[in-house]
Amino acid sequence: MSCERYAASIEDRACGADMTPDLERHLAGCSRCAALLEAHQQAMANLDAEIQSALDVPVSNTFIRDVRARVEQEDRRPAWWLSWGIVPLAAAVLLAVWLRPVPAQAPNLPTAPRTSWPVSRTATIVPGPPEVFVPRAPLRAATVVQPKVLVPPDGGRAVSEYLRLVRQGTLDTSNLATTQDVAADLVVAPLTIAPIVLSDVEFGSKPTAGGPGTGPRGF
Amino acid sequence: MHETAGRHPGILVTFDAAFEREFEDRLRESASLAVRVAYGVLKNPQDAEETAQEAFARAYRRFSQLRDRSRFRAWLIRMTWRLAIDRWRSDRRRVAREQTSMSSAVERTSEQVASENERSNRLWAAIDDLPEKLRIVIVLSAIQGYDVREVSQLLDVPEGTVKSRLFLARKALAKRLQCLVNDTQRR
Repeated sequence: MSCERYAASIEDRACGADMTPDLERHLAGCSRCAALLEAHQQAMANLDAEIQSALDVPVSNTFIRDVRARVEQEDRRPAWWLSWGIVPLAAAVLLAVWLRPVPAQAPNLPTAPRTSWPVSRTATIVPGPPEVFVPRAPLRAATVVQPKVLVPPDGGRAVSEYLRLVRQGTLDTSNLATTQDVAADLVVAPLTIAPIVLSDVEFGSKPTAGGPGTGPRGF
Repeated sequence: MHETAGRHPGILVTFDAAFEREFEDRLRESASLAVRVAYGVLKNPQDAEETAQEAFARAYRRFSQLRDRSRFRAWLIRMTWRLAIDRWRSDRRRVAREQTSMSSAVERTSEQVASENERSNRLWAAIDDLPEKLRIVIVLSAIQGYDVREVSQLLDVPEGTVKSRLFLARKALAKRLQCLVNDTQRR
């Protein structure tokens, strides 16, 4: 039985690898390899203990207090840009303002007078394209125009003819026939209503055969 | 929060007191762990304590954002480990710069230290040479005797992954420190 081919497996097993069935069978029948594995495992245990001992560093008694102090100190500490960062930031802003490009102004352009608008104090008038006149729709009258002349219903045709002649300028006023004032011809007839005579009404009579409503109702 | 205090001062006081008390309990039970994790990277007690304190200060600020409070230790360990690695890298650059200017003095000091505690230096050198993922596993398993399941919970990785990494780390350390060579040659 060759133990050499199990050397690597034994080392792997000591380092934490799983036990293979083949190695397990070999170790069961080979006391030397079993002892070797045990020695390797002891060496690794010593290594673990050494690492653990190396990491066994005590924590100071002021640790918790120091953490609190650190938190409070960070609360009081201003932001970085408020402490040391504000100086180069301000310098950069000033430099940028000083070195900013000045826009070229068009010569001989009229300027509008100063207004009270707080945003811009002066406005440069730049000639633009010619304005295009857009006719507006006529506004409707807000109030109803009352007619100046009232025409009787049968006089509409005569008025239309009169207006046509006026617009054509061919109206001969000498041919116009005048009539009397309409109001002068009005005669107000007296309205007379004959009084109702109660003696003509019969009370208590039976309804007639003409149906309801044709005669007085009885009580 | 202060507005709430104006309306329900009693509730806020209760909440703040409970918050402070819970965090302080976590702080007490995890302080040693955090310091050892940081020490596993930095190998300097003072630096390790400062790093652990910084981790706790960060944890305090974000404690209310931690939904599952049972994950506090894993959360703290990862934060501490990350801070320690950052500090270690920064210190290593600083030490490298100092060694460039003071090489003779450092060489003499290194010889004295090596003669005083050669085994410890070799051990730490071997641990430092491990990849980061293997190093955190070997450090955590050495601290307080955590087993594979506990380390997997702390690192939030599967147990099989932890087992594999632990095996690779131990094998690398054994080879580097020649723990098993003599036993093998004895055959």
